[in-house]
Parts: sequence; structure tokens; C-alpha cells
Amino acid sequence: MSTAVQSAPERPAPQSAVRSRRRLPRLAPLGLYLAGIALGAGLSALTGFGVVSTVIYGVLLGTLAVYVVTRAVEGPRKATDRLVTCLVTTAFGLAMVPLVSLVWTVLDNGLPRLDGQFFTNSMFRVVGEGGGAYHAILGTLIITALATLISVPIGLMTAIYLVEYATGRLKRSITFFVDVMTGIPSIVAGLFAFALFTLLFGNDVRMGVMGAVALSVLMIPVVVRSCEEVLKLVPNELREASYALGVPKWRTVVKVVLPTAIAGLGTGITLSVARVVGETAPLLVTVGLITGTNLNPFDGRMATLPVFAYYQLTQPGTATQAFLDRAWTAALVLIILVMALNVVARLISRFFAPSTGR
Amino acid sequence: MFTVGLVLAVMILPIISAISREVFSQAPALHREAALALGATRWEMIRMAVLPYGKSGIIGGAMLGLGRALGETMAVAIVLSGGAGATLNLISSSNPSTIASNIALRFPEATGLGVNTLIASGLVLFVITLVVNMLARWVVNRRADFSGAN
Repeated sequence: MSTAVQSAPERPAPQSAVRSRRRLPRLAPLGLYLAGIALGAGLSALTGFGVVSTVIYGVLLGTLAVYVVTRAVEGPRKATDRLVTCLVTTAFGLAMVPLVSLVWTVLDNGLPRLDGQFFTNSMFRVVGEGGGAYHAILGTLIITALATLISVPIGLMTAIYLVEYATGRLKRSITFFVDVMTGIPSIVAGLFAFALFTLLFGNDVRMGVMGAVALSVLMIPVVVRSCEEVLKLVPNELREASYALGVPKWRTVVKVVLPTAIAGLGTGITLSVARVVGETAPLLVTVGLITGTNLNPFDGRMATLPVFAYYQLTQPGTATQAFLDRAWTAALVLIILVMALNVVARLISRFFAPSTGR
Repeated sequence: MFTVGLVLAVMILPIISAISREVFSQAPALHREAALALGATRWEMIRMAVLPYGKSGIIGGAMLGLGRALGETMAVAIVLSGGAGATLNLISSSNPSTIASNIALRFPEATGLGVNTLIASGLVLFVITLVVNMLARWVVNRRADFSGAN
């Protein structure tokens, strides 16, 4: 009885044209692509095996195979879709090549001299092997710290002004010029600091603080941009609740807005420090280089890591290899420094993030 | 010169891709879903919904990358052995220097009027990059004005 009822609404399955269209199995394009690469390896083996020719032949053949087979089975629209997927993936791989190659080269060349001596000795009275970048590392840290001291208050207050106070044309023009200033060449900032200090202190003045001023010219726009973005994210309800309790504006900013946004502010400032710590050109123009250790940023030249690496590379002495090794290791230390700053930024945004519980 | 061009291309690639990524991620999700729901393949969805929306953003990002490449100093100074003559040949051994690398190479030894000459060339560089960046920001911001309509 019940079986008869269930079998009653039995209809012929609708076999429309769309449904009956053939489709490739899920993994078929990937398999075709790999087959193309294998074929490319074979083709490359004919003319003497090489990694580069294998990759070039393989990518071309794989893309072609995917396109042709998909076009034959599924039609031109799907084929174009797969073709573009292949092209985009290839472009991504192409973009990753320089990055991986750069990190590998610096590690390969820089690791041999990454020893204790590199961190404890300066280049004072060193003409051949040995020596280190103690003076340059300290100089970079001091100058970057000074630049941060100058640019964080200015940048943060500008951001607060833009978000909390400014309106209309002034706000728009400040935002526009801050945007434009993020793109000025670093060497122009160096020339600006040089000209400024020449005006103030006369000719041939060389001080660490000149470099700090040049770096802060580069850093302020970055700080303003990132802090502005973060402050915009603070919910308006918090401000309005504060005003409703009769709290004055400055107290609202200091006690409500800034604590809410502290994680983003810390991240933005750390990233902007990472942005300027590797700048070479402005320091080359303003601070110069010395071989000894100078810890006073208000008197005389200082050594910094990027300039140190540059001069070790371009003006090697009699023992060329020793100088090149030091240049690579300095570059490696610089990369490690920047990566450490990025990690610190991540940690700040992770640990201070749940500010809703305040 | 060709080598320097390649190096600069690698250096500005992250900037352009970061800006383009930001622009693409702002393309309205509703447009994408509508395109997919109408049976478009992924590439057709990108071509019809994402690319027209992000066109000015891509142009602006490319121009910001151009501005960065114009002011790039140290990579050019290290790779390019710049001479005094001017040539348009990309793969010859005599290369004209760029403004930024010329300043970086000459400045440490310059005295007197030489310093003024270099600072003047820095001013020219500043004006060029300023114009490029302003154009780029103008293009990018023009898009931002009407993006809120959807």
C-alpha cells in the first residue's frame, strides 16, 4: 500500500541541455597542469636539463593543456576562466621569485660573519678581516629612537586633530598633503635636514640628530596615516557617552579614544619605525660614517647599519672579501631588525586588542 | 640601465600589489555574488564586477609605484654605474645616472657650489615626484568619493 503511494509520483528525470553538459572531474585541471610540467621537463631534458627551462616550458605547456582540454570538453567560457586562473597563479609565482631569492642570498652570504665579534667590535683601526658593526648597530638604534621621539608626538597629535577636531577644507588639504608626503623621495628628506642644519649651525655640520630629523620627515606622514585610520575605527557611541556624562573634549580623547585605540596605534607606530630603520640615502647625506663608536647624537658623525653596509660594499679596502662579508652580514642584521619590528607589531595588536573589556 | 629597471620593478611590485589588493577587497560583495548567481565564471565575475570598480585604484597604485621608483636612491646607486653622458640605449655600458643616485654618490665629497647644484637637482626631483603623487592621489580619491553610493 505505502510502497504504491511512494512510487506513484515517479517522473522521468529532467535531462535538460544544461545538466547533461559534460564536466571535467574536480582534479582534472591540476592533473593536466602537472602533466604539462612533466612534458616541459622532458622537453628541457632534450636540450640539456635546466631548472629555468623546465619551469618555463612546463608552465607554458601546462597552461596550454588546461586551456585546450577544457575548451574541448566544457566550452570556451570555462576555458577562459581556467586560462586566467593559470595566468594569475603564474604571476603570483613570478612575484615570489625575487622575494625568496633575496632572503636566500642574504642568508647564504650573511651567515658566515654573524658571530660574536660582529656585535662586540667596531671598525676602529680595522683595515682587513675581523671588525664588526657594534658602532653601526648602536648608531641605528639611537638615531631611530630619536626619530621616533620627534615624529610620534607630532604624528599622533596631527591624527587626533584630523579625526576629532578638523572639519572642511583644512582637513581635506592636510589629508591630501600627508598622502602626498608619504611618497617623497627619501634623499630629498635628507637634503632638507642638511639644508636646515646648515642654516642653523653653519657649514660642515654633521650630527646624529640631523639624520633623526630627516627620518622623522619621512616617518611623520606614515604615523599620521596609520593613526588616523585607527582613530576612525573608534565607535562614535563611546565619544557620545563620554560627552553625555559631561566630560570635556580633551579628557574624552585622552581617557576614552586613545585607550580604545591603543593596540592599533602601537602597531602603526611600530610599522612606521620598521619603515624608516632601513633608510640609507638620508643618513648617507646627513650623518655620514665613522669607524669608531660615537654615542652622542649631538656631536659629530655617527655610523648606521645601512650606510655601513653601503660603504663596506662600495669602498672595500685591500681585503675585499672581508668587506663584502661584513656588508652582507649588516644587511642580514637589518632584515632581522625589520622582521623583529614587524613581529612586535603583530604581538602588540594581539595582546592589546580586546579593549572592549575595559 | 635595463638591470636597474628590473630591480626597481621588483622593488615597487609589493606597493602596487598591496594597493590593488586593498581596492579589490573594497569591491562590493553584492556585485560579485550577483554576477556569480547569474552563472558567470570566476573570471567573468572579476572582469565585470571587480575590475571596472577598481580601475582607477589600479592606475593610482601604479602611479604611486612610479613615484617610489623615481625617488629610489640606493639600489640605483649600487647597481648602476652612472656616467655623465646622456643616452637612450638601455643595454649599453655607458649609463646616465638618475637624480637621486647622483645626489647620493656626489654629495659626501661635494663642496661649495656643488652642494647647491645637488640640492637644486633634489628640488627638481621633489617637484616631479610631488606632481606624480598628487595625480595618483587625485585618481585614487576620485574613486573614494562615489564608492559609498552602493
